[in-house]
Amino acid sequence: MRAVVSAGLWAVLSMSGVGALAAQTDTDAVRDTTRQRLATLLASYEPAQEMHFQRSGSEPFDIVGSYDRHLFYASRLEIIVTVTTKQTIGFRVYPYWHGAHINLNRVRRPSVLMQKLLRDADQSFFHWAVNPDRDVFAGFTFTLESGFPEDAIDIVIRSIPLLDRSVGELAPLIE
Amino acid sequence: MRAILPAGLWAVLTLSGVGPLVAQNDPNAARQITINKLWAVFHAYGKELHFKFHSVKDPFTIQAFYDKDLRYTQRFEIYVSVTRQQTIQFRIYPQFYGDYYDLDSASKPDSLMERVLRFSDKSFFFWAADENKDVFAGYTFTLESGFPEEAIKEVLRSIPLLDSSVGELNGFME
Repeated sequence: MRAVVSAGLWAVLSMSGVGALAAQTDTDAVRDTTRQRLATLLASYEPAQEMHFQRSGSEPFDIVGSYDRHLFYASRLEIIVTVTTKQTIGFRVYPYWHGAHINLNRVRRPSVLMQKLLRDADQSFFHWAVNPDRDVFAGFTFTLESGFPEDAIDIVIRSIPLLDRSVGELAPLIE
Repeated sequence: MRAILPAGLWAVLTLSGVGPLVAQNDPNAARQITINKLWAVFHAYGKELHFKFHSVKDPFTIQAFYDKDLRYTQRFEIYVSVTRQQTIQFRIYPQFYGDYYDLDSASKPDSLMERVLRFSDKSFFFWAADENKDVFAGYTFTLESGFPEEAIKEVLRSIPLLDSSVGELNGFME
C-alpha cells in the first residue's frame, strides 16, 4: 500500500472537502524525495538555469524562480514550483506587468480578460487561474502516479518564456 | 529522431501561433498506438466506474458519458483526445438542464468565470471555455515520459467528483 495520497484521491478529497485530513496521512519524506529530484533537475537543465531557481524561504516544498530575459511584454515571470502533499508537482507562473502581478481588481476590462484566459486555457499548453488575491497566473500540474516525469517537466520549463506572447495578448485588457 | 512533435514543441508552436502548419506533417502512427492504449484502459477500467464510452467520427477522440449518482449536473459529457502533439486531453462538460454551461446563457457570467478560474487554482482539473463559450473541466497529459496509465485511471476516478464543483456554478446560471 502506498504511503502517500495519490493525485486522484487528492482530487476526490479536495472536492469533497476533506483534503486536509488526507494530507495528514502523507509523509514529508516522499515529498522530500520528489523535491530533491526536482531540485536536481532544475539545477542541471540548462533552460532552467536562466530562471535562478532556489528553495523558498517560507514554504519548504516550494522552489521559486524568476525569468526576465528577452521579454517583450511582461516585466518578468515569477515561477513557483510546488511539490504538494498529494503527490503532484504544480507549476505556477505569475506574469508581472509593470512590476506587479496582473490582478483582476486593477485591470481595465476584467470580464473580457477572464474570458480570454478561459479561451487560452482551451487552446494552450498552460491553463490560467486566479489565486485568492485575484492575481492571475498560468499553471500546469503533473500527477506522479506514473512516476517522475522528467522529460515532461523539461518541456514545461522550456515553454515558460513563451508565455510572454500570451501576456502581450492580454495587454489591451490590462491597461 | 522522433517522428512526432514533442509536447513542448507543441507548446512552443501553439503559443507562437504556428501549430497548425507543423501539425500537417505529423504522421498518425504514434497517435494510433496511444488511442489503442486508451481504449484498453477504458475497456478494462472505465466500465467498472460506470462510464459509457463511444467512438466518434474523429478516430483519435473517445466520447464518454457519466451519469451515476450525480446531484447537481444531469451528466458529464467527456471527450478524450490524442492530439497531433502527443498529448492526451480530457475535456469534461457538465450539463445544465440538458445543455452546456454556456457563458452567454449564464445569469452572472463574470461570477461564473471567476469561480472556475478559482477552481483552476485549487483543484485537480483546470477549467476553460471552448469556442462556443461552453465551460468545461480539463486535464492534459504530456507523453514525453511515457503513457501514464495509472494517472489516467486516477483522472477517471476523479471525474464524478466534479459534481460538487458544478453545484457551486448553478447559482450563476439560473
